[in-house]
Amino acid sequence: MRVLILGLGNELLRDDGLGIYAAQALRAELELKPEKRGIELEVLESPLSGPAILDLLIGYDRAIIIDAVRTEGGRPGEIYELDLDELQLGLKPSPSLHYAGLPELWALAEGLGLDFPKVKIYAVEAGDLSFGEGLTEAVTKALPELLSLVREEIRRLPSVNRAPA
Amino acid sequence: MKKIIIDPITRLEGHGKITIFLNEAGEVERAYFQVPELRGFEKFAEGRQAEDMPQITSRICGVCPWAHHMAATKALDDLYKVEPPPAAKKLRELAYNLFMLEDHALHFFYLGGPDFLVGPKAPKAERNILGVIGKVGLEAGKRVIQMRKELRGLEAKMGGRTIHPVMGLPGGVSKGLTEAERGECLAVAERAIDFTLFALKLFEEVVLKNQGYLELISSEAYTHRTYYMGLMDDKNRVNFYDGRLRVVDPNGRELVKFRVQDYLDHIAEHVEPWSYVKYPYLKAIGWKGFLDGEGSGIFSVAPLARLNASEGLATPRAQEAYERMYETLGGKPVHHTLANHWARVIEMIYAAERIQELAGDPEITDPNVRLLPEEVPTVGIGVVEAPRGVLIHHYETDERGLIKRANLIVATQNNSARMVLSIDKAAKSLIKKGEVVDDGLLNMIEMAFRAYDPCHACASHALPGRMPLVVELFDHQGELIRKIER
Repeated sequence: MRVLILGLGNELLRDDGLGIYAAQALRAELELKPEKRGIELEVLESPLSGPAILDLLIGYDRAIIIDAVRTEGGRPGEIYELDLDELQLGLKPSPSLHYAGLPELWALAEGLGLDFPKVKIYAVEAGDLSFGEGLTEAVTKALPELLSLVREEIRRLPSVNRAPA
Repeated sequence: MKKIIIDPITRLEGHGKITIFLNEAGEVERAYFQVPELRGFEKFAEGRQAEDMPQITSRICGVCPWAHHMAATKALDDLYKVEPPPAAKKLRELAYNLFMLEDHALHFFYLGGPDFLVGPKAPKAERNILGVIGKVGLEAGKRVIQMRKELRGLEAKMGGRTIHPVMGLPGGVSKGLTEAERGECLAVAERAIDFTLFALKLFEEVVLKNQGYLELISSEAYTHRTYYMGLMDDKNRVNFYDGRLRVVDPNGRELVKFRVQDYLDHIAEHVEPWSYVKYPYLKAIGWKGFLDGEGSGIFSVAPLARLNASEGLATPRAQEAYERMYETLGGKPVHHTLANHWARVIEMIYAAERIQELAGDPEITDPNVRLLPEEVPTVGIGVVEAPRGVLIHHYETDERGLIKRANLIVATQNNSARMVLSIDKAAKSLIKKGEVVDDGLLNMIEMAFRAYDPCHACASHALPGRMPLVVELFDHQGELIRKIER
């Protein structure tokens, strides 16, 4: 089984760097303790948006996406865990594909018959998204818990026998 | 921790916001479109090494990393007054055309697609990506994905990294091209040319054979007679990577052609009291308000503006398509905003042919790809044509090369005044005596919006969120009376 851990974000925009830092931390851990059990784990960081993200996801069986979000009334540092299929947004018209979110990309992949992974999302409510480096205190504090949730999710992945090439 | 269902959220605050002011009679006084800009970046850049700018600026946009990377690299050439060797320039242009083609292809199919390939009158539920796939077929849809993948693969090879390119250095590029890689580029170029001609055929079959579409393209509602600006070579042919900026008037006559280093002599920025947004205009003509015509300094950039500002394209099949567009739409310049989709597919052909030309040049594998900068830095200004139009990077440094001041003029900003004209026209035709046709208004605005393909993804990417289009109506006393959202 091919699994992608994808950290989305931009480390030049304070808390938006969360996904990038989380992915870097997880990569370092996985290099020390690689997953066995027939799971092929890859870690990527990306600042890309829109359909470019589709290029990254295609071909994996599972994907764990880590990102910073801003929700109405959210408290900075709050962690959200959700399955992509919970994002019941449907395919509403969007003025530009630049802003296409994962549900649109999923629909596009399905429409084209491409292999889109089963996606689990871990997101943290951002405090500051202005230009600057380093996470705010609230988000920094959330990072260890976020990482342990992702580790747990990795442990929960079903063991598989190595698939024939 | 709590589990939630996220309803449309966005991290792109204030983006896509349209403000409409009504007069006492309930008629539209003026409608505005707010283009967000890169606030805070200038400050962020201060005190940093100029050499880091190609890497830093490529991170500010999740859509156009290459455009910023290349504009920054060229600004560094200028900062250190160093001319890259011929092979380095060719490599940069080659990589850049790969990016332009990839980006244009995406927008032609998936962005313009809902309006043209599916059709403006199709039911709303079909006007999306799936509708496009339904129209062009599964194979064509997969072909777009496959082509983009090949182009991105080559970009990654030339850029040195998958996402943030590390190719450009002041005075050249970080590595040369091997013979094997050159062969790969040639093979991809051949498939790319086929692919772009296929896109043109599709456009001709679906759009041009449909009288209704042609009428829509040339309808007054989507027409503005403005100035046009684009980057041109010595023969006034479009070049995405290098050249001089040429401006033509609404009749197609050259107003001026200048080096980007002189941009401040030609472009000024107008500020409206109701918004922080700056509207670039032509200094020689002046700011006359949100008006089109020869007397107004408003200009436009992006595919149609580039073709309008040029005297032709440097490659044969693209030139053929260029001539056909102007013949069909009644000569140059074309003032119809929706013709941007057509111009985009013509530029795709040009990019594919240009990739073939550059990769076909044996000099491109010359290992001499960098000259070391020796000058003491002061000011550096660079320009490229981003997919959405003219992009300028301007840095001022101290003698150690630390940034004292940075100014970026992004393409969408250059188009912002003309976009206001489009929104205003749409609002005036659809709001009478305070009565608003919600859906009609949004549709019309969105069509214009997509034709310009404004990019607000600078410094952002959207996870589950999508950018909402928000229209706010204010009465003559400045009270918010309606908010239409999608």
